[in-house]
Parts: sequence; C-alpha cells; structure tokens
Amino acid sequence: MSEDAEESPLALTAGLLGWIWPGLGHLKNGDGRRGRLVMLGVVGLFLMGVLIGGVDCVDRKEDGLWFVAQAGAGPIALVTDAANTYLLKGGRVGEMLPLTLPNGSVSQVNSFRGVGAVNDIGTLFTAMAGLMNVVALLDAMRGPRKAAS
Amino acid sequence: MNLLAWMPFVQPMPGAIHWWWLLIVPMVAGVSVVWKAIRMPSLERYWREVGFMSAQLLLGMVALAAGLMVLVRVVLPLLPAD
Repeated sequence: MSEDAEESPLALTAGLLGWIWPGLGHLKNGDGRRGRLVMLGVVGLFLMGVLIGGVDCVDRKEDGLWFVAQAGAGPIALVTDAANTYLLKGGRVGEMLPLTLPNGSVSQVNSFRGVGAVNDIGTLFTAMAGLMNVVALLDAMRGPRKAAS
Repeated sequence: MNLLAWMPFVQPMPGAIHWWWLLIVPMVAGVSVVWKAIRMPSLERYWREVGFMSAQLLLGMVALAAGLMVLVRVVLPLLPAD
C-alpha cells in the first residue's frame, strides 16, 4: 500500500511529461532509448500529417472529434490548431475566397485550405500520432521497467 | 500549384492527391515504431520487429481492401435489385 502510494506521483509525472512532449515520460523513467523511439514515432507521424495536409488538418472547431484524438499528441496539436486559426482563418497567408453555404449564407474560406483525400490523410496521420501517444504515456505511467534496456 | 510555390506545413502537399494511397506505408511504419517501442520487453531486434509488424499491417490492409472490392464489385451485383 505504501509502495503504491509512493510510486503514484512519479507515474503521474511521467504521464504528464509524456503528454507535454512524446517520449519524455519514458526518458523520466530512465528508458532513454524507448523514449527516443516513441518521440521519433509520434512526432514523425504528426509532422508527416501536417506536411501532407497542411495546418488545416488540425482544426479544433470544425473537426472537433478528430481533435480529441489529435490532442493526445500534446501541446504540438494545440500549437498547430492555433497556427491554423492565425494563418489560414485569419487570412495572413493565401487568399480568402467566398463560399456559399447550403443554407444560402456566404462565408469565407482560405485558398490554402486542404480538401479531399490529402486533407483526410493528414488528419488521419495526426490523429494516429495522438492516439499512439496516449498508449505511450499510459505505458510511461506504469513507472520504470524492472529490466529497462 | 507547382512544387516551388508550395509552403510546407502550411499548404497541403501538391500532387499527393494522385498517390495518397501510398502514404499508408509511412503511417504503418510510424505506428509500428511506437507500438514496438512500448511492447517489447527488450529492444534487441527492434527494427526487425518494426519491419515485420509494418509488413503485417500493410498486408492486412491490402487483404481488407481486396475483400471489400470483391464484395462491392462481385457479390453485391449478384443480389436481386428488389
């Protein structure tokens, strides 16, 4: 009982660190190589997704359910969403084009916005990065391995 | 849009619409890198295991796609219309 109570704060810290930056939780647990591999996989998947789909593939307001998964990758997802809002929705890059909605009202959409399969794949990559990081941080919360590599 | 005008990480990748299905390869590789890093008790033979899992995922996806194609193009047209 007392051992569990002593391990709990360390495990929670590792989980929190793993969310803040993928792999940090394992690094805190002393699993250096494992942490670097998690970092490579999660950050690689996330950056690849944004490279394919552009910043538009992370959108908290328009793709809320996807963002739940993407947010598992940590602040990197929040920063990408903020970049989407600032750059694309704010019209700081590209060109704002008129878009007539089905209800007849006219909205504006950025010419850099991703559409079709490219946007879907980018969204999928970033969501997979988030989900895999959740698995990784849950593993980090178990604490150091007895026979860490 | 040509490649020179592309703003990486801001705009979608130009031309990817024509070969988007190939992107499953880096995706299964990324998933395998993370999963094997977590699940293997020892990281000896790590990259071999990552390659093996990537191949398994890829073949599984191909088999699912082939199965769905047979269902949609062969089985469903055989069913009575009403």
